[in-house]
Amino acid sequence: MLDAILTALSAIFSWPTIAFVFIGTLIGITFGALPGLGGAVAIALLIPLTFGLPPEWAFPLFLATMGGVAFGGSISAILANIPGTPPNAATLLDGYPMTRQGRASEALGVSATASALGALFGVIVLVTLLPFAKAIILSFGPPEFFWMVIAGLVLIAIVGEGSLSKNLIAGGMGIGVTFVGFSIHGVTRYTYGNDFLWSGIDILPVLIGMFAIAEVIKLTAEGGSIADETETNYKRSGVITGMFFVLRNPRLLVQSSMLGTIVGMVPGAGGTIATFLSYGQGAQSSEDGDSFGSGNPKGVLTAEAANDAKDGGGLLPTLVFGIPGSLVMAVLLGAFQIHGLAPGTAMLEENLDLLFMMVIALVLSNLLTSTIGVLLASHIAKLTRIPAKSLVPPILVVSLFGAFTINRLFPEVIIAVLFGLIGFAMLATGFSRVAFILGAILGPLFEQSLTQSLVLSDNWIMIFFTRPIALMIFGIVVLSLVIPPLRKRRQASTASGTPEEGGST
Amino acid sequence: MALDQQSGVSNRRDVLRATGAGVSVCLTLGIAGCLGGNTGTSGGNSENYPQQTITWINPSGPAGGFGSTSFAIESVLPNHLPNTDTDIAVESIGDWDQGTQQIHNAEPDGYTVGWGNVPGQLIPQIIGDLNYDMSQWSWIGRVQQSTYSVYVPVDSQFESFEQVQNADQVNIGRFGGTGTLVNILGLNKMDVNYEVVPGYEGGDGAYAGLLRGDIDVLCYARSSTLPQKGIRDGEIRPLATFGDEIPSHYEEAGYGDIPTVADLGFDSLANFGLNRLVGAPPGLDEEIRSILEEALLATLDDEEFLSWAEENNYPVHPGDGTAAQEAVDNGVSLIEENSDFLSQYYG
Repeated sequence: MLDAILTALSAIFSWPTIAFVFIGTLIGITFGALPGLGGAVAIALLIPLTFGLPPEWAFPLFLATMGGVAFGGSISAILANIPGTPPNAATLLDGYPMTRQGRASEALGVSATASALGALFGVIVLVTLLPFAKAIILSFGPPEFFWMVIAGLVLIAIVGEGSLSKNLIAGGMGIGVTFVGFSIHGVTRYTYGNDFLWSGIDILPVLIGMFAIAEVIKLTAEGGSIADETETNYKRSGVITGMFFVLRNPRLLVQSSMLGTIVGMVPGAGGTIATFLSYGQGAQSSEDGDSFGSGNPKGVLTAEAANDAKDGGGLLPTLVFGIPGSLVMAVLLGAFQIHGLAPGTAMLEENLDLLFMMVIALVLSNLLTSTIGVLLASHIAKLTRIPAKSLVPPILVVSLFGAFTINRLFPEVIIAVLFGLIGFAMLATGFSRVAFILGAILGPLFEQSLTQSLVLSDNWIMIFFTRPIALMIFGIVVLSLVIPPLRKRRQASTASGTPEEGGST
Repeated sequence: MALDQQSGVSNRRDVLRATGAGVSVCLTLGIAGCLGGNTGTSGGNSENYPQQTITWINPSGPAGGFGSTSFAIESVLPNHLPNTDTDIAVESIGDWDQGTQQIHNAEPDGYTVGWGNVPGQLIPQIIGDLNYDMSQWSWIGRVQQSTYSVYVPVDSQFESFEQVQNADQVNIGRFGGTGTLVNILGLNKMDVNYEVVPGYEGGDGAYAGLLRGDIDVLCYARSSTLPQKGIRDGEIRPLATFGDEIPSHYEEAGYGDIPTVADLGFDSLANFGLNRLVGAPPGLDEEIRSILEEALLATLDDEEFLSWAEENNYPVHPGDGTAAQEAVDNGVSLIEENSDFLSQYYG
């Protein structure tokens, strides 16, 4: 193994491989930042361009692209409340409030640092767990998926903006949207004879509408700029503050990275569950958990660390089983096949140096991305000073263009606009858009895991409570529901009129 | 987040302005969308064909058998067209129904072709309420006739296919397309009692279910990467094959003595499996169809493509448009004959 690592290191830092890593990183950041694109689209577009390239150049390019996407998505999430990719929806919960408070540089600094360290952690776990990967991956089945979905929704309902009941309603509405189209039994639902709705409502136009277009309407109505001018800090010190904040919270960093890696390992779970579970757990386990959602940098830390760690975790089932852990990994698998590589034992025995090249490329791209982010954060943050009237048209154009380019179907632009109006209405009435989006993303997995569990157990409901991992996740759900009201009651009884000391960070 | 209510009139004006801008952009995009795309005449013009990029619609995702084959063909096909500077642009849709409908709805001008997944994708048109009709397509050719095998986990209680047939009930997976059809219809015809576990995302999702133990038995295309890897890594083993011969990698792994479906007495199921066909929308000019047919067959015989196929253990079964049409007609007959049974699962 050591030989393979050394060979990989020597190859990665040679020309032109290192150039491909750099190019992939830039592509990843760009595709991550633009809503509607993302890593899967980036790699799919790159595949035909790499036909003539040897795997030693092509795969570092792909993995570097993947590495750049997560942080790229956080840029638009933090600055404009628009998640570049679905997992970045957790980043905006605290990232955007920080921007509104004039702390965009700090938020970007936290994101860049947590991304790099989270990715490094994920890769270390990947290499360490390689011999045990099979057992871990196969122990997650439908009941475990079910509770993971419930845990994600409950955690966000508790820590998200707005009241618990409104957030749960919003999450339920999001799940309801996923009922449109073909059910898992092959029957169409709520399509009303419309071809376009057979495959249901794509999440990306909904995401673009709920966040980008709703924000555009809000910005237009409120005027001004994204950040409050009187409190803005664009100095490099803001970025450095963010960087050191991450280093001062190692427990939270490790916890979030571990969660992201483990969830990333589970095929079908997806990056969004990883980030939201990490965010929710961070809020639950932090003393200042009540301030999550109001501009607490810990919120950005937990989301971004998990978001980047999941890629390392996701490589495990992809490389060991040939079973993709996410959509991006599925596209990557296609790239394997096109370049004549086979996942599984053959990869681990005959192409170990290539495997390590991919891993090193992923780490390198995250370090590069974070370096670029740190160097440019204070400049990027100035975008938040631009008056809304000047910012709205380009955001609108990019959003509508993004909605159109997903599948090049005009009805998806209509969907984006429609959900933009719905998102604005939710903003005005205090319903959580994040809970809605999480419901919409997790809805298919919710239905699939529930149905599969009941079919496998002949409708014996105890299947959800008799498997160790399922029971553990169920326990997390119960504790999540019980601890916050107990904590509030304890705080109320000990406060006795004494004000809280210190800031929120 | 509360809205600023202090300057109500100017805010309303601004909101209206923003809404108007948004509607303008939408309309512009809509008009562009309607006017864009292929502008060739209906049926196509064979003179000097091809003159622009040919879109190859892959209704599947970019990964997997259809996706990877698309890219392999994309790089070789232009060399066999009258105009070798022609680009082939693969468009992966990630949704079989939408993608198949897009092929059906496209202009029949020779600049849109795509995959036909037969017989799996015939089910929605015959039993479902989808609007395309693949039997009307202008068929260009066949790339592969993918044979299936019956797999179990390597530590499964089932040592032979007869044991599966004798079991009270086994779990099988539902994961879409021809794969599900082979599992549901094929195993039913082979007297296997089963319960269908729905909701697996594609063949790899069902494969994961097989390894986890959710599914007891899985019929899967034997040329696909996953089962080949599974046998090589000692994760799964075959119990029977729908083909009429045993592939060499089965023999190398020690499974050379498994029965074919003909050995088991089910001759009618021999070669029941997936046909990867290439087709164009109905009404394509016959000359253009012939040009594409010749180019495809030459591609499938090209050294570069064959080299890729060999590296990936991807069997190639070249066939012309007539062979493809025959596969479609056979598929339609199969599904119509079994429509009552299949309606339980594809209602």
